[in-house]
Amino acid sequence: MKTECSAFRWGIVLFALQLVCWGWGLYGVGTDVHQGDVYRILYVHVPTCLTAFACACYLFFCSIYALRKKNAAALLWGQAIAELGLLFTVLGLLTGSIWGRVTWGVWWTWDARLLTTFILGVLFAAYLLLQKALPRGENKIKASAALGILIFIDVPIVYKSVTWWRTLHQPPSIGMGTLSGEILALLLVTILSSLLFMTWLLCARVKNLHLQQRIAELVSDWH
Amino acid sequence: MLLTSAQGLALAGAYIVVVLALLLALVYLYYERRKLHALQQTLTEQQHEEN
Repeated sequence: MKTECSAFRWGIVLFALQLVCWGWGLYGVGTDVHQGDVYRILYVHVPTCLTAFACACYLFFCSIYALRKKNAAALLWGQAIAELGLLFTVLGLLTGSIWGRVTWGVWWTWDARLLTTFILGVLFAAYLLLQKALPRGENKIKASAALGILIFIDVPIVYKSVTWWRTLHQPPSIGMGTLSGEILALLLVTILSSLLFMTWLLCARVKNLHLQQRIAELVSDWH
Repeated sequence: MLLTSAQGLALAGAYIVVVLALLLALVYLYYERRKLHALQQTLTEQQHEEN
């Protein structure tokens, strides 16, 4: 019990940091002149979407490593990354949908940004299904790595979709000079805390998957 | 804050969804770790007893 508590201390600290950032976003910064208070969804929507992109980047490096080293342990990391990638993509879509309902008047529209993000979520889910479906071996490593690389290719398409196609979605919030210094600074801190929390969740999940594997080995040794 | 307006409800909804999802992920991992540790310990002890 004590071991688990100490292992999860950092997780609680990073989650608390997220809560502080969101609390600051709700009460600490000024209101937007165009959108009013609803723009504050930015502090949950942008970090979750960028964290999903970061998961795709992690998955890309993991896939390259798995391909080069033919390492089955990389599949455990791949599974954990894809699970978190799916979680953050779904959260990004949900928060975006709520924001869209208020600003565009619809929960969902077949807009390029929304569609490419939806495809990202489907690809993360497909990665998890593929890992479950294939038996252990080199083919599983190759197929998972190929899909991991494909997921990464979707990220720049999602990011550039608002400039490549005419969309309802606004252009990128960061780097366009549309946000005030105060809002941008808090947004960057929130993104950083989200990335740190996701990385912690990833390490914790990988450790659990390792434990599951060790237990399965113990059971098979026994029989 | 603004909880009676559509904007306030949307804002509250978005924050609640994200906070609950991440909190659930944290709690799930914690209980999964506890369960796995306990299971591993039981299996190791049983193996030692048999040996």
